Amino acid sequence: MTHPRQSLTWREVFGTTFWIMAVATCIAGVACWNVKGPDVFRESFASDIDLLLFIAPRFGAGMVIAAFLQKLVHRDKVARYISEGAGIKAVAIATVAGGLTPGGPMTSFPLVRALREVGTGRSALVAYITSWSTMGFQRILNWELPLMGPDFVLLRLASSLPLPIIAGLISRLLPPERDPAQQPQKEAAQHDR
Amino acid sequence: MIDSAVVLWGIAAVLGVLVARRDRLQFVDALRSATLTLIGVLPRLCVAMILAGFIAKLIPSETIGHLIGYDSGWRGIALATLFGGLMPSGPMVAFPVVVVLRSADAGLPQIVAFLTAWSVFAWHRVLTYEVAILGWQFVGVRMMSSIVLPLVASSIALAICQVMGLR
Repeated sequence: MTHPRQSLTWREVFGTTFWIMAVATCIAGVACWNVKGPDVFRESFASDIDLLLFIAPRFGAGMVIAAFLQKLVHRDKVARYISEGAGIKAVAIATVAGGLTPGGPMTSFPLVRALREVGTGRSALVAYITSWSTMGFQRILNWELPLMGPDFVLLRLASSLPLPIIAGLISRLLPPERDPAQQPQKEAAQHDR
Repeated sequence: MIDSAVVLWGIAAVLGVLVARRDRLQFVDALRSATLTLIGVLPRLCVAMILAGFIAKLIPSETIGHLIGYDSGWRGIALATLFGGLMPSGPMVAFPVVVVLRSADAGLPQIVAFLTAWSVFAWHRVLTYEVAILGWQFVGVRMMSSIVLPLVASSIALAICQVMGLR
């Protein structure tokens, strides 16, 4: 959904998710009409349309900003910065990089895998995923800012700043992974401990 | 007060100039990708918002306010964490849900707990991508490292709300 798009098919736009949600909407709509009456039904519809009209221009701007940033920030550069750091420094770099990585899960998880393969420590990987999932700029621009407004975004970002570091540090206390195939290389163990 | 849409389009324009100065084709490509993503998401977003609106009417806001309102405190934060962690969907459902919760008097620290739990545990994302790409063991470690995060984030949010007088 959030990786650079070159094409779009009807099946993607109106896929299973859309129809499940459409059916659920019809059921909820009928329930609303029957339980609360036609007036509440109309009122709900009208306020949805107001909200959509408010969101649409901001939503569009968020999508365009994210697309431009994808062109300006390169994934390979992000990967190089994280794998170069060690120990707590790597965790800190991973935190910053996680927030700056463009793209959805289909681009960021392969990046994490690549980082692990070149020997990046586990705590940095955990910090990276935590940072990307709680403070990734793309989701904030595409969804949170248009729907919740800048004040809320600031509050949530301020509350989330220490999370990647905390998760990274906790992951150091957990026992190492057993499967040798999953185990980062020796170098990584040195980074971590 | 400048409209936030104006600010956002201003930022978009500046970034657009930066990209265009590097490479015209990349500029066109970015606009194309943004438009396609928008078209791809819009129908689901519209339906999700209408659905969230109906559900909000069906669940009285006093109930939501009582369960996860600002005054629900830690109990509400725990409940919001649970709801957020169980949300089986991407942002196009989660954010309309949050908008509805907020308009139904859910407290800010509780919403922060909800969003943090949804962001770090997102089991739809974990099952689709994370396990496949990184393996169960790593995912297990990451999950265990993340258990306390919604609590940490909402504690900070609660402190900020108390200082700033927000609810």
